[in-house]
Amino acid sequence: MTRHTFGIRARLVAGFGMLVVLLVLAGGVGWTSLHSTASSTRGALRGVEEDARLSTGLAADVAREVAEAARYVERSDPAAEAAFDSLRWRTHRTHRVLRRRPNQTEAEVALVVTIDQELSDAEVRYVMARRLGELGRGAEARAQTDSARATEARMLGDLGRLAEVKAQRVAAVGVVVAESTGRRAFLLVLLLLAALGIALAVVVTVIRSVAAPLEALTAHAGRLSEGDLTARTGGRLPRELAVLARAMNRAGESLSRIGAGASAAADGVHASAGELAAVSARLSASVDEVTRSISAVSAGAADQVEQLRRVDEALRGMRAGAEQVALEVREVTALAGEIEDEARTKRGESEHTLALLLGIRQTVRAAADESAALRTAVAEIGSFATAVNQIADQTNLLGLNASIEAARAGEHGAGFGVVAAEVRKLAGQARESAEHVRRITLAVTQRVDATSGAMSAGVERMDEVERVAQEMGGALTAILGAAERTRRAAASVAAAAEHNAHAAVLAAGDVAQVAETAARHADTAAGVRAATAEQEGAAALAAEATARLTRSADSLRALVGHLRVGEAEPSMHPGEPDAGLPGSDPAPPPTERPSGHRGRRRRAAV
Amino acid sequence: MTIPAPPAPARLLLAFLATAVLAACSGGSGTVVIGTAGPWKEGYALNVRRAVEMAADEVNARGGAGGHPVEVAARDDEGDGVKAASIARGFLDDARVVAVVGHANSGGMVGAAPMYDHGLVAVSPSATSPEITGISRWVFRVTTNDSVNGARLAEFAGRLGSRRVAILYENDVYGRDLAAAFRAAFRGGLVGVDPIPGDGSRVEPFISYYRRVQPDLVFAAGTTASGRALLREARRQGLRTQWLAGDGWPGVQADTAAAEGAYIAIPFSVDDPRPEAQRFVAAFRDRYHQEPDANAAMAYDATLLLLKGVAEVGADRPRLRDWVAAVRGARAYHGVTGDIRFGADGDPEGTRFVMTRVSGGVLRPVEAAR
Repeated sequence: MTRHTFGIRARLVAGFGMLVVLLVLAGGVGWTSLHSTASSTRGALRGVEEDARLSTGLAADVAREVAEAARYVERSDPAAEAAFDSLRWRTHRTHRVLRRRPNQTEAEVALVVTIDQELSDAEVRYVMARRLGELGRGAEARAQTDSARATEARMLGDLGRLAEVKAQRVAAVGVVVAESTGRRAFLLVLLLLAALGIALAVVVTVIRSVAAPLEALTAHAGRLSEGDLTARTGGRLPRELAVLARAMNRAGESLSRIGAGASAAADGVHASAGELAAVSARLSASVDEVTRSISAVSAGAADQVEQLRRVDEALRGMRAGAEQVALEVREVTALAGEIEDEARTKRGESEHTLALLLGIRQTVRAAADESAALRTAVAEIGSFATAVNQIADQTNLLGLNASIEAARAGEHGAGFGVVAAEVRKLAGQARESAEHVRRITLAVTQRVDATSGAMSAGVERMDEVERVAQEMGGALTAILGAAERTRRAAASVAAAAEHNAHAAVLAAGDVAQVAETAARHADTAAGVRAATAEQEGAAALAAEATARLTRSADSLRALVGHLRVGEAEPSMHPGEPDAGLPGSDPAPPPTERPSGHRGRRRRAAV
Repeated sequence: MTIPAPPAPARLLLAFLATAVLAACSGGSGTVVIGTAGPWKEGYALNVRRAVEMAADEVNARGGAGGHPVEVAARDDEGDGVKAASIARGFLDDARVVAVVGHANSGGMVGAAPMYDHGLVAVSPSATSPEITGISRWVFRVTTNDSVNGARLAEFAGRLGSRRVAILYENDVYGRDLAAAFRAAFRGGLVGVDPIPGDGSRVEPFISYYRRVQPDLVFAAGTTASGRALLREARRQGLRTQWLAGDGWPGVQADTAAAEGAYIAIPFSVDDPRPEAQRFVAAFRDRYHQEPDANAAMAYDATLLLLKGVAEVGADRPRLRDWVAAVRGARAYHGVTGDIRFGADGDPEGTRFVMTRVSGGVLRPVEAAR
């Protein structure tokens, strides 16, 4: 877009270089002129000097010859003739040198030739006078001498004129030198004027070549300051200004881009504000919904607390049941203890009886026959003992089941009652068995009584009674063990019941904790509800802020819309087509420009 | 660095224009003028003029010099150096004049030479004075230098056995130089060395004096006018002596009685047997019904030489001058008087010297002298 030509510095250097060259040229011309003027003056003066010397020499020779001629004519001696002859040739030699002087004017040549002719004529007349004298023709000789003297007079006049002419030559030389000097001075002045003209041209050219781009750049800056970012400066500029123009063009492009970006951002902010408003609305709705949900959660928490209270109550009931079981188990234990005590007592009685029997064995031996029947009754007691054993086992199992159920009491406390019932039933059975044993024992006692009567009749049967007694002791021992086991089982049941009760207490504590948690949840829900209320207020504030944002975006859009960011327009050289289109061609290198533009640019810029 | 004075470019421009015009003229249309000058009332000078005109006509008959028609501008300088200088000035200022055949006598040539030195080539056919040697780089001559002629004449006089010799010289450049050359070379006795007027007047006292001193031989260094007067006066007074003269005298033989027996040394003889010489003699006779003399032959050669130069280098004075100066060595000009070569001083190389004796009004080459 911008092409730079020679820089301002280069122009100044070139211009002043030309100026210096011209001044040097003028100086050279001046020096040469002075030198050549001096040389030509010297040459001319030398010529004049030589002319003067020769003219003087000629005049001297002529004077000598004339003087010698008088002697030559008057005395007829050979020495005078030889001397005159010698002087004639000498004078003509001098004259010849004078005649051959270069650069003579026609007047000089004429005078020199005339002098020679007059001299020659005079010589002829002198020689003729001498010959006439020798012939004794004195009158004719004198006439020739007079004539010769007249010619001499003319010749001397011509010599004087020659001197004048030579003097004029000197003057002419002076004039020529003056003219030559004048011409050279004129040339010097012309050269200096030319130098001045070129200097002016250079200065004007430089100023114009700098001023026009500067004006264009100023206009460019003005348009930029008015917000017209399409302004571009192109063309051929001085290098420094081309750099500035490129920088301004880039600034314009950058500002265009920023303006476009700002406009887009304003639009985007506007749109975002709208979206934000919608989001705020949705947020408000969701806050309501959350509030409702939190209320529901709060209500649910209350329900949960109620339910937990009910669970607590159930657990308390369960605990009470378990305590009742424990109480009843303690009764069972006490019963078992009683059974045990009774059995121990019976065993002691039985042993006493046995000892009695042993003491009476000799007496009852006779009742050996009764022994078989006693043995049968003891067998029945054995079977009864077996039944008791079975019950004891069953009770044991039930105790186990009760303890398992007690372990499950944390979930369902209800099953515990069944176990407790079974235990109670077992306890009933055990009681029935104990009664049955007691009844059997009673029958045995009756039978022993019967036997004792019989033993008295039948002592022989005493061994058998002993054995039965011993067996009964064993049975009582077994009963004792069974009672012991029952007591232990009841103790276990009691421990289980106690454990159950404890577990129920723990469960109740847990439930209380849960209830407490639920209550806290409810409290939290209330807090959340309060926070939601605050959020609702914030959403309202956000909506208000969004509205302000929208207004700001609108004003920003209006502001950016004021910036012209369309096609770039060159600000330099109005009317000149510049192909710089920032949109399609933001910063093309100078070489990519069509040559036609460049040509016009060059003409316009230089 | 040479900075010409302001008018110099103008002069250069004029010179350029003139050259351009002349170059255009060399195509054939521009007339060239050959100047010639001499004392036409003198026979030898008249022959010069006639020969120049004849040569120009012959060239025009062949189509001109390189296509240029040739004109002859003949001026009478009366043998006077002052007039000669003035005429030379006129030739110099006339741009059509490309060269001068002249001047005919030494006095005129010596007077005019300073003018020709300004830039016009002059080839004298008959000016023999030693003073002309090297007088200007623009001045040449075809005839032999008098210093050479004088020495050969002195030698001839010695061979004739002359012991008492009188020298009469026209008191001008030609006469003085020839006399001086003769005097310097002559080994015998001299009874007198007397200057005489060039116009043939007032010779009576000298003849009267010679009747008294009776020289064996009188050497006359002069021209036809004074020669004729001397011969008539000698015949009138009955002076018996041998006359000897140089190339200034041709024409005196017309005065058959007075001139009979006189020895005259000339550069060219009509009896030269070479075909070109005979062709010239015949043409001159046909045209003027008169015998040509050596001056005519040399003027003819000088004219044709210059016109050949014009044909070769055009009507350009400096180039013509350089062309003439280059007629030397192998580039000799083959004229009717023989091969012409110029030395660096403008004089011809070699000598043209034919000793003749007047016999019945005709110059007969002297066999013994050849």
